[in-house]
Amino acid sequence: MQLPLADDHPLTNGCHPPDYLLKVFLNSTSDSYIFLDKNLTVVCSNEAELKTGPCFFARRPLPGHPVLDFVALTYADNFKMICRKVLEGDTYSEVLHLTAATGKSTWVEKMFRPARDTNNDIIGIIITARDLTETREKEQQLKNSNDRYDLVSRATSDAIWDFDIINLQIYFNEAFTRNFGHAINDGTEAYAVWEQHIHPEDKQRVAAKLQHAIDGPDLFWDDEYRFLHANGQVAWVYDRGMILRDSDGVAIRMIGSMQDISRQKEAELKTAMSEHRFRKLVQSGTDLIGILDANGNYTYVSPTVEILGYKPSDLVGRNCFEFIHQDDIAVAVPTFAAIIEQKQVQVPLIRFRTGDGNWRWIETSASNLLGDPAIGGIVVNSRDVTEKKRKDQALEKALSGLNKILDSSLDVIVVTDADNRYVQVSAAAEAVWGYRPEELVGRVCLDLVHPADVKRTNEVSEAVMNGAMITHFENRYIRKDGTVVPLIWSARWDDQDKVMYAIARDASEKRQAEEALQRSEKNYRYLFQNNPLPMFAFDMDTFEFMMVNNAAYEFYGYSPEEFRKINVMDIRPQEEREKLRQFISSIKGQPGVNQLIGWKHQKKDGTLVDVDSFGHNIMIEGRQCRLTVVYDVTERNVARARLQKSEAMFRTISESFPNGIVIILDRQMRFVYTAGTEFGQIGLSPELFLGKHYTELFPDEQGLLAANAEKIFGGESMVSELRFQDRNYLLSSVPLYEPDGSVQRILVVAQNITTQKRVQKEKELLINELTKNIHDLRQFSYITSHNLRAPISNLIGIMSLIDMNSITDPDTAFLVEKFKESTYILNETVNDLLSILLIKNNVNVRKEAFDLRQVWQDVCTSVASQVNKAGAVIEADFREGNEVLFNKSYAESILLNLLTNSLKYRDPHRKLQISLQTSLEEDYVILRFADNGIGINLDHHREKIFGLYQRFHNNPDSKGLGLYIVHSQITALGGKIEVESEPGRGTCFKVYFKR
Amino acid sequence: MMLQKVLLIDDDMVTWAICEMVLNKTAFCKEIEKLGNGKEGIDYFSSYFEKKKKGETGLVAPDLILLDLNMPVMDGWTFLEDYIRKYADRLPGTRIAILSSTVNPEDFIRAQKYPIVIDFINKPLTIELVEDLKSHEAFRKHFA
Repeated sequence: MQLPLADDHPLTNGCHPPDYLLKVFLNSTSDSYIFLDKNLTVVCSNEAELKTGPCFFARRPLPGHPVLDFVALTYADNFKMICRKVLEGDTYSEVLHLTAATGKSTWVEKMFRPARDTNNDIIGIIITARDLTETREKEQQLKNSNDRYDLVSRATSDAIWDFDIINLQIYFNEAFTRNFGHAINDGTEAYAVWEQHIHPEDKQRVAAKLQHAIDGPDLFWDDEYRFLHANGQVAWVYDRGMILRDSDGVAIRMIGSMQDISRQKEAELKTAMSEHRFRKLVQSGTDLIGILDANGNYTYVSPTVEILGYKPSDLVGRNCFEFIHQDDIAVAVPTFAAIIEQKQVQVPLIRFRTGDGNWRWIETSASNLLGDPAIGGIVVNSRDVTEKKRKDQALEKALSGLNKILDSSLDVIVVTDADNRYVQVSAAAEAVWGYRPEELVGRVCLDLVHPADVKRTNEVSEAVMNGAMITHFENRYIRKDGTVVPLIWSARWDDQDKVMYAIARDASEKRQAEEALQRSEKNYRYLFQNNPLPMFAFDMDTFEFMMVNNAAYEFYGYSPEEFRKINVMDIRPQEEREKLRQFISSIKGQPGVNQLIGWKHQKKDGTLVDVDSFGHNIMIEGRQCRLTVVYDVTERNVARARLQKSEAMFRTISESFPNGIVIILDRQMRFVYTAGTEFGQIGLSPELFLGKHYTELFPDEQGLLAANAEKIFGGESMVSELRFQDRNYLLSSVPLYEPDGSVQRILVVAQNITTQKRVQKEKELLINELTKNIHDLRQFSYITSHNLRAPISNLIGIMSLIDMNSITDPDTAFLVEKFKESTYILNETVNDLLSILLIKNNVNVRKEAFDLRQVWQDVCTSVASQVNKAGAVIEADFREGNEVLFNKSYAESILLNLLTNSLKYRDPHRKLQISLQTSLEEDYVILRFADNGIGINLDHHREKIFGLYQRFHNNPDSKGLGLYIVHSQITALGGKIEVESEPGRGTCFKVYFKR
Repeated sequence: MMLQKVLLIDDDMVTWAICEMVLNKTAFCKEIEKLGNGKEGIDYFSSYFEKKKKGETGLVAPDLILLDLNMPVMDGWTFLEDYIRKYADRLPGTRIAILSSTVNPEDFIRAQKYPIVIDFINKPLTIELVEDLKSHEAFRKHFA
């Protein structure tokens, strides 16, 4: 390979051409180099230009020709301008992205630098071009991978939203509630919640930017703002979304994610604060002031020592020589001695160890004030001059002869001999390996090679010595500090001089990019495989599945093996497959994330599910694939449909609510919903009142509802009445509970009760009248009873006064006797009738708990003679139930009546047996009262037995009132009586007393 | 020993006769005065105090008034209220017993509200009832 060396083309300013070493170097590097003189004539160039592709040269520049002959026309002006600036001392670089006709992308970094001679005069221009394609591709892959990682991780942690711009409704996934604590009911509410919780200071800005994005042609919107958590804390969020537009370009919908970036923000703020602190210190601080005693120990150090990474207490008490670089001790010691001797000396620059173990160059001036009683020490005033020193050193190096080109390279350029020992090393060795060139010259190369790479390196180096040219050989070196640095080598053997020229590039950055890529891939795979959301990737040309995660196996019901046999069409219903095919071809090669909403997927068992999905185009194994994350929204859709149905039902009910209105009030007692047929009746439109205060509809309500609003919002219900125009309304107000249990709205149902009101009023009048009538009638009955009783009383009085002994005529005596009997019977009958009247009027009857057995015994005692006369056998058993809640005198009357009935209607042919037995049943104590008397034929008399003046036997004592009174008394106090009887066998009464 | 005077206010002449016979038979009082209704009762006490004012001597106030309730002109309740308001304080020795054929429960309850009413007698007045009256603490001393 013959190089067009510059021997035949001396530089115009008379300098010597580059030596042989340079020529060899030029052809060993993979970068392209072109040297131009000040007149822009090509001095030399290497073949690498071809590798990096046509940048701005139309063809290969030939030495000795003006470079502009080779520059592409379109680029010529620009090229000339750059060259002019570089000749004035500027450096220029740019990265070009080139796409070849084959479609292959390359990135090339072009650099123009001034070439200087040993006097640092500019003698020409060095143009280098470096191929960055590989690095860029790695970066791009990393970015892609990171994007996927983002997508996947976001899918689980970020709040995903779907914003219906037309209806101002937002649907959030559950992450919104999880991240920000807000419970959401419906889309409208969600929009309000989102808008209300933007930090007041950010609200206007966010709204303006969002509006701008919606109005403009943008596809994306993003913003950072503060958002209020439900617990009141402020979160920083990064919110971004994609805007979907209709065919007219009108934004109709946005889909995006809301990411909580509070932690990042906090870190940013902290960094900003600490930077601020540091600057303040540096600005306000002076030089580092220290005081040393005669032995060089620090007795005082100013706080500004912080810039060297110490606190004053770290230095005080220690010897200054502990901190000085060992290479500088040799000059520092005699200098210190001179200071002690009060000599005026210039302290040389020395290196001082910093708190973190690095070295800083410091410039120091010292004053011996040991004799000054106020100080008693050597005051040293130091200044960090490292940067200055570095620049000086760099300058020194730049000026050091021919090696300046080699040394200005960031790659390490080495020359080794046949024994693999370094002959020459460029300055970059210090930056890349940590060794200064002079430390390496003479050493064996393999000493620095990582042990694991020694064998390979040896083999390659032998190959080079045998004439092979090597590029892109990778191995690792051990730095001076023990760390490992990966390197990429280009090398060739010069058989003439028996030396190898080699260039090593630090591959760390590339390595790091690769490792980051691997890490990201691993994270991504983990997240992909274990993500609870179904995910898969498929080939966009063949529709085959490339990757499927566990959740997807479970979701679709296909096993991993089955997924390998089916394609993405098989998980769609037949009718959506064509639509999907069209969609896929439309997004091929499009970047970004798409969200698909309203599609259906089909499971293995044929079930159709509503899904939303996020898709992202990725490359897998060189194939264009699409990664899809699937959200099962069947339940959400079902819930939404149910909600819509229930809302529709509510609306139907409330709008057709007869004779009434249905309204919902917010906390300010303003209408948020109004409906009902009554609005039509009163000639008003329900919508008229929306947003207005409720008193506008109910001016006569007089604040009753408002006064009780707190109670209703506190969870109580209230019923009130009001008049509107000439109508009466019954208001039922109830709280409406939000899902979180709070009450933000109340439901008021007002019913027109005008008619009911009127009817009720009429009823009240009627009742009053009836009550009065009853009262009058009762008074009338008392008066007539009185009038009937009065003469009977007199008769009784007279009877009691007649002395029968004074009547001598037996006939008269007989008549008077009969007169007396009739009078008593009349009196008894009237008294019975009066007692019925009193029972019926239910006057003065007191219920009490008492012992039924005791009452029975009293009754028996009162008629003991009659019982004895009848020779009755009585068995009474009150064990099952004894205490009743009844009126005691009624009970006496009932038992007496039953007993005397049994006595009266006994069967003359057999001995009278009476048995009483109690039992319990729910609310009653039941007394079973049975005899073996003559009985009653109930077939004929059942209806009449407890009626007034019903007599069933031709018994002279019977007035037909007894059972009527019993029945009246037992029913007057909530009890009842039943009878069973058979003529000739006996009668059995069951009396139910309340317990 | 017996009471000085019983005043009977009743519109029924048969009651008068019965009462007179019973009170005489039981030797309850020395004198029985009979009036036909409440109005006559008020007039009686009005004139009693007028005479007393004039300084007339030998005036005897009744120890007991037997009072019917249902009477024409002025009923028993009206008389009772009037009497209590105008005369009761001045006649601390005079008691009242209701004597009526009423069946209205309200009457029984109402009678209990007046401490001056010591008994409620359902007609007819009998010897047994008068004997009971004799043992009433207000009259006991007269029959010792």
